[in-house]
Amino acid sequence: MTVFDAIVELTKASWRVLRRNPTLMWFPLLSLLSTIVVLVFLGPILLRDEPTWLALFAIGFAIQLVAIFWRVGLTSEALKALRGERPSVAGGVAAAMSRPSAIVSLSAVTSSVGFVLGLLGRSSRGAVRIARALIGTAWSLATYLAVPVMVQERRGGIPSLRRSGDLFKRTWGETTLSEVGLRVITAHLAFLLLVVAVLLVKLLGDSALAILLVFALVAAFAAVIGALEAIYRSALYVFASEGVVPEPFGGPELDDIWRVK
Amino acid sequence: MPIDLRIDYDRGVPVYRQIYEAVIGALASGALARDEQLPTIHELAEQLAINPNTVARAYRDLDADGYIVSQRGRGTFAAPEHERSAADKDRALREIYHEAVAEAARHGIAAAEMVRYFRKVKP
Repeated sequence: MTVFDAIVELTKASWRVLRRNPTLMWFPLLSLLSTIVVLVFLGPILLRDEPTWLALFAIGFAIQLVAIFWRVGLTSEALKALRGERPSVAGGVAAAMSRPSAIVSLSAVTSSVGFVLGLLGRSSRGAVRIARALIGTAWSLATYLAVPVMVQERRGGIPSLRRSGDLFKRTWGETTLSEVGLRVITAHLAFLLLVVAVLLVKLLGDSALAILLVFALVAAFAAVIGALEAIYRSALYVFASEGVVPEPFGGPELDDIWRVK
Repeated sequence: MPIDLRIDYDRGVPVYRQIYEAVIGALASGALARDEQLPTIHELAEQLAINPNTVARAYRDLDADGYIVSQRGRGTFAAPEHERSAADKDRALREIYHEAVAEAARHGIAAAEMVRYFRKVKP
């Protein structure tokens, strides 16, 4: 099985879960809307001549906080869906509301790291930029399972990051495949989305209807990709932690992908 | 269920294996009587908030090793003592022996010395 085949099979398995549980798509949508609200309130700070580092950090933290809140809710319900239970928006919100300190601490760490990586990314020196890319990739892989850990094992933010690193050692192949796979699929779909958006604007002109349709497309894209990603991430967590592949990620066509280390 | 089934995620042991070990521990200690019924896969999965496949895998391994018996339509039961085959017992003894040798080595005790001691002590 090639890497591309594996990506397609994993996406198909995630899609089967999503089709049975479309409720999961509400979480990325609510996350998108919450982020827009945060930007409406805090965005004007960015429009000032010279926003302070503290202001920039505060905005980054607020966006992370909102994103992680909804990701905790989504992951909680994705894990339920993989167990054969029925997910709900209320259940996800309740799960996220029950972990405020863990969400705040995880947001603080991830936004701080993101801030530092952002600063490194501004450097004009090639070596610094390469180092930034390497550190960024290592960080995103090592923290890949932090949210499922937080939800399932009820750990705090920093212990969840530590445990995610431990689990990564056991599932580095699958995690990397997931990260790469998702980026490949997202890039392909984003290109399609861009083509459709351009066509819409060409057909309808610079009208309110065109803007509305483009926004609806972006929202639908975010909902599907966000939910698929959370489903796969949750399945990977179950595999790494419980030692078993959840349904429908098992089966002969997917056996090559999962290997217990 | 009379089994101390708390999942310890810090142990670094997969959850299905922890369930497997907990059932064996309960059988060894007598907390789980022979012929006693175990919870269904879904009951235990719900109780532990884990994936049903994880419980199913643990039960499948326990069944294959002769510790439990799954009866279609009736449920899962702790296996009667006589159903454990000689091969299973042999495998279990071999595991115990290797663990004991490793533990003794950590204390600077040679395997031969340990075996001599076992022969000397009365059960």
